[in-house]
Amino acid sequence: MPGTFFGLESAVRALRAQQTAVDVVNHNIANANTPGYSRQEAVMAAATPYTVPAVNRDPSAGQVGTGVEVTRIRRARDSFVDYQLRNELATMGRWEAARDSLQQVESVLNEPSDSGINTLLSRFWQSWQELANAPSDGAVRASLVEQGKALATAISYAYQQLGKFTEDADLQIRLTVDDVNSIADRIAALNAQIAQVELSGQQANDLSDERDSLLDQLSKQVKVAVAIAPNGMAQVFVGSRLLVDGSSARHLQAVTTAPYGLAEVQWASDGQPANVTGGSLRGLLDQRGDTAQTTGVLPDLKAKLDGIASDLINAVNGQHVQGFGLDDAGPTPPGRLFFTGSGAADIAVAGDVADNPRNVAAASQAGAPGDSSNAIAIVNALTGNGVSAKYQALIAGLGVQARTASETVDNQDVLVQHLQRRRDALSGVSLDEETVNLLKYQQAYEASARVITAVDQMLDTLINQTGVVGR
Amino acid sequence: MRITHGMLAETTLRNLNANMARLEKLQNQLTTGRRISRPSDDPIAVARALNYHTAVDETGQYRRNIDAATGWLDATDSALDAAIQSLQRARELAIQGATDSLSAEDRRTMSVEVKQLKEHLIQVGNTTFGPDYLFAGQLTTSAPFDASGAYSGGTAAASTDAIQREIGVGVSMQVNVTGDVVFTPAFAAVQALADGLDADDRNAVDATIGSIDQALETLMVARSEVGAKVNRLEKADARLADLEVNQTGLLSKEEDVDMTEAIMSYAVAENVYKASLSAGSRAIQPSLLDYLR
Repeated sequence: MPGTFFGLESAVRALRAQQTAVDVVNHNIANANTPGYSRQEAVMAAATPYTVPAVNRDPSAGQVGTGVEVTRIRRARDSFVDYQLRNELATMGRWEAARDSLQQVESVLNEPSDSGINTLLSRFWQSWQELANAPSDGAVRASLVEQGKALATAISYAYQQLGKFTEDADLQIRLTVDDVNSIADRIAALNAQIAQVELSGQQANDLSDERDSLLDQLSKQVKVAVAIAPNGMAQVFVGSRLLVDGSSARHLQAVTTAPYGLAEVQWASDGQPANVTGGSLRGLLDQRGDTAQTTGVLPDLKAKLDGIASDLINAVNGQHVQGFGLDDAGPTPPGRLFFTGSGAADIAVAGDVADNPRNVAAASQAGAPGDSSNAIAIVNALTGNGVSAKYQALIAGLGVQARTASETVDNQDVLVQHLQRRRDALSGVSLDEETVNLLKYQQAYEASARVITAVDQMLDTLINQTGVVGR
Repeated sequence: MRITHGMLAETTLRNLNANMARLEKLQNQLTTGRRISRPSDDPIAVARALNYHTAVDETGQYRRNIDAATGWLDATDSALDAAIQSLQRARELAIQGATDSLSAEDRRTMSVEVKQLKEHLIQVGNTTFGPDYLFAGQLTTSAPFDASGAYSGGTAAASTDAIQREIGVGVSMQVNVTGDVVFTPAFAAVQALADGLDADDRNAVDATIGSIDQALETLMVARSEVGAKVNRLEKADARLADLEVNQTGLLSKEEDVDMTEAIMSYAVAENVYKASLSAGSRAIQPSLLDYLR
């Protein structure tokens, strides 16, 4: 038979176990609104029963249970949902970066509106028509020059802004790389702490929650693959290389590259380019384009705008050099340009036309102020070479890209929300559930306390009441 | 599936936000009157809208061109009319001057009137339309005729004669007549009449009737051509006016919001928002703790 104080010991064990359970419930309730917190439960198991099979064992009836003990504090977490959620966060981060960039471009180009380039192209065309109607009218000439200036300014401003967005995207890439490095450092530090705790046989629940939350943040920036090693450390891969290897973090670096001074994302240890496949970093890289600016959304838009500007310049200049202004003498044309520059970056109205609108070459012959045939030829050149159509195609293309990005973000949002709900369904704290558990453990605690009282009374009888016959 | 209070709160927030977003979009449409405010709202519609904008501007411009051309032609018509009337008076005088019963004195008196007619004709030949001389060909900034009727304006031979106006895509019309074609024969005939009257030469005067008739013929033919051009322009303008209405209608279909539809949608969205507020407030409040003593 087990010892005298056996019952007390079992009851005390029970008290301890129920109290631990209540502490865990307390922790859950306290953290009900903590983001990234997974609910914990005290896993109870019956303690090792008495007697252990042996030759010299106690011959009385057995085995007798020895009470309860809390074997571990378990965190309710589904790592598969985490894996799915991180993938979708990476996709969402990528398309959010794309959507934000494209919406910025839409705002700058500001179509459809009365001040957009489409309207300015139209007004420019109309000014040449008005010149054809009244080629000797000074006011009409001045107005044409002003329209030309407005158009040139609008095109070069839009081009300049696209360049600025490229620089902004580059800056954001550098900042994101810094952010990734700092998160990697923190994950590595947590890895070390978690490994120490798990080595001693305990569960590092809150530390794991913190690490999972950091991994979610990281996934939005850059797509990662996570593998939990047997010692509890998380190995984090970007592309196929380790970003976090146990307790040490390998850093990325953003290296300024010629010819445009844009950053290339490399591994700091050996300068190899990093294979970034998702996350906002990928989105930004797609928008900004490669370091040589040959591919990418913004370089593509710049190239198209540049093409439109050079078509415009060539169409107008091609005819303008063949014509005569009001004060030119023949027989050879003075070969005056209307636009200077070769593309969107430097398009401008030529100085000698801007300063003196009489130099606009409306006529095909010298000394014929009523001759508007060159102006008409310029009108036809503008109508014929499809500058307007090309610009409209640019806007439509931009609209499709922006809409695709925006709709993908919305879709991803739904997916992410769905996965969050699945995670919350398992890991979230339900106050109702915790309240019931609290009652449960509280009553068990009270019952165990009762048992102690009963055993205590029995011992009291044994110790103080036995063998006092006749006292 | 386990539902926690956190999930309820999250769902409520999310749906409230989605409803607000819908309200905001509809409100934007109602206040601007436009269905599309950026290319990503409806890329194909935006491309079409931009195209229609350009088309409407184009059509409007061609109508303005036709207005300008019509103005020129109308001014030409009035001038030619004045010239024809003067020349017809000259013809009367020529017929009168060819009768035998007139004295040299009478003929000299008539010659004064004929010279006045010639001056008037020269003045008509130098008519202006705004800043331009009507009959000077492309040399519109200087008067085509001097005091003696010599022509110094643009000529077909020098390719400086045509004033062109674009009345449609790739369609040009010459709107002017040059003074050397219509007025120089008239001046010559009238001068010959005056000379004949001064010389008291009845036969010479009689001979000018033929050249005056020819000059009249030239003027009338020119005038009827002008009339025909005005007709053509009127028809072109009517067609363009219809086109403009069509294009504006198409543009409006792409760009503008259907007000009744938008207002209805807004009312519905507002109700949904209110309902979600009400439902949310009822769902997230009670918990088990309220019911335990």
